[in-house]
Amino acid sequence: MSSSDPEYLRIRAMVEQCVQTALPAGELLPDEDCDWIESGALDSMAHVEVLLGIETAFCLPGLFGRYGGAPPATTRTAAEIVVQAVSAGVECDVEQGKNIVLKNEVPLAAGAFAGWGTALGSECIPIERVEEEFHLSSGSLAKRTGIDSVRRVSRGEDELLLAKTAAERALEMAGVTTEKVDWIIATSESFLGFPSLAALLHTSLLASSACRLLDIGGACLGLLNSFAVAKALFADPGVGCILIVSADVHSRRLAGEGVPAEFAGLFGDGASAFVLRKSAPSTDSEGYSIRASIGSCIGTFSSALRISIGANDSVVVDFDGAALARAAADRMERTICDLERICGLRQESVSAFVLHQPNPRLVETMRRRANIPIEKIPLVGKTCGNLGSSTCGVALCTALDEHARKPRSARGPILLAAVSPGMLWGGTVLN
Amino acid sequence: MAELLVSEITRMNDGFCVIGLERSGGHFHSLRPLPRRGYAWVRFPYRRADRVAFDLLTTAVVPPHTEDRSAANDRKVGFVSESELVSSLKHAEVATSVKDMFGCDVHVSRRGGDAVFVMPAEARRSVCGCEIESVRFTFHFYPKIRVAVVLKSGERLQSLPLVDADWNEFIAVLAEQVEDRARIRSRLEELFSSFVYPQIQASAFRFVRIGLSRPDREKFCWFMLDSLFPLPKKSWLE
Repeated sequence: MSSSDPEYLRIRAMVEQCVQTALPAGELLPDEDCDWIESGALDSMAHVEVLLGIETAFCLPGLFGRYGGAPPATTRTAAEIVVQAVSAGVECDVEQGKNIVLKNEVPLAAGAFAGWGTALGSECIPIERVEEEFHLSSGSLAKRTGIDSVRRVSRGEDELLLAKTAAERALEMAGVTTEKVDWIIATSESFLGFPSLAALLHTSLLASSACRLLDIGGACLGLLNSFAVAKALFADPGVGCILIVSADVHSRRLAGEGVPAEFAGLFGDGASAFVLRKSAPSTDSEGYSIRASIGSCIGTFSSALRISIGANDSVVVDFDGAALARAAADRMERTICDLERICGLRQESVSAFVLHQPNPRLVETMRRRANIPIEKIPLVGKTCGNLGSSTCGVALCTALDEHARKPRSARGPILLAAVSPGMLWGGTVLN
Repeated sequence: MAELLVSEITRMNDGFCVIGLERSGGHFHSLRPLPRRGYAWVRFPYRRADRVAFDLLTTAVVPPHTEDRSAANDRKVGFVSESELVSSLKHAEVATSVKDMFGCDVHVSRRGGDAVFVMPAEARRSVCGCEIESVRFTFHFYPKIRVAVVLKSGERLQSLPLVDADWNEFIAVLAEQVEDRARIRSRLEELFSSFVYPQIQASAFRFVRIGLSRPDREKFCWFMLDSLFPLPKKSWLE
């Protein structure tokens, strides 16, 4: 591949983007053959970070470790190693990542979104009433978080009812009967009992005896974890339809004395459901499908939020709100950047950013830092509160309502990003 | 004249950065003796756990490196065992959580890796000790080495640059024994798995000292692995 080859130029541009992240604002990029260290552009610390960034951008973890000699220290050397790896067919960790990066192709048999639905707790509680209930000073939650109201279940509602309602709406939209569902994947951060939520849902929906079940953890990241698993399950030729459901009823789980009021007051109750069907190679009329997903865990911030079950089944929450908010905003911003780089997306081409929303203030912080137009973020937290694993689900349904009916040529990708205790993080791109 | 128990000798550019413990009552606190010029000693003729006497002068310190002192007239007055050194370190600056190490917010790199940094004006010191559960070296970018440690708190520091001079020297000796230079990274990982990690896990004390780098061009002070105890032993290579 010559240095004027468009593929090489694209790879070099991505390498330069990674180098740019380590340069002070306004500083020019070093020339292609300029040694990053000797020129003083990068110090030893930044050098390693930039190389890790390049590996992430090309979905090639461990790339530079596989080559003999010193780690690359010029843009040309780094780009050439990437080119060599790609030409040699080095495996990428993100499924079909090589194609994603280099050719912008849509993956083959993926799960396409055929139907979706939500169910919110039937009671809408103004935030002023929440403050009263938790004996918080007037305006404290409203001002600090920007939440106007939260949704809560009524006496007869629970996770299962919300999940079932959302699932039925999704199945109806997809025109799929429950007998056609090959897998039910359920996620909830509030449902703790057995039979599990997926099992109860299987029974409640009268799904077929051939339908398999999976309950997935990850708290607020649960839905994105479910998408990653669904994408993998579609590799099985026998799998044609997957129902993914999230349901969270925080108002009961977080009602105990071990939960700080300023934490419990942020949450609402809701559910979301998605029917994914195996899709053939894309046509202009097709719906969104899962294109790529990334994620991991930053244990550095694991103590910012710890939730455990104490005596008498009470929930005990230990949280440092400021540390958690800052770490979450940092990680979400980086997840968005990584997804854009991995998939070769320009931010302006993205139709919607579906973000986990611990509270509206934090969303606004993230939005400003990532320079995302407000109209591209479906807002859930302001009127519903933090719905846990269902926050992204309800926001995604809003985004799909707006964009999924458009011809492929008239819409852009949808980008999802979430974080949860641990600190787990993840991102998904729908195309 | 002040007596310091040398606790850190770390690599800094072409020289060594040194930290020692000064006793005050039943506790210790860290001081960083500086040579006449700059921060790094071109030659430092002592070893860790040596007791060294210095003439120390308070110098204009720039946060968070409040431990800096100008030093002169150094001479060795004795030494202690490694276990005594660790015991002393446990009575110096210690923390059980990442946030408490430097008393300020910690940020993750925005450049692509998992290194962490603090803002200089927010940190109240530049070195802190911590007990750890486990450790993992990454030779991915050898000769630059990164280390992940899991603290007793369950928190993890995923990507600490290894600046500990003893460990770097040990790894350099180990690397010289690898004949296939093209496979040096994977071979080092194999060797660590086969005999270094078991030695560390078997040790009665697993303790790290985390230091902060001088502010970089973006004014970030990065976490570094100044010390990992147990220190590597030549006998492990036999």
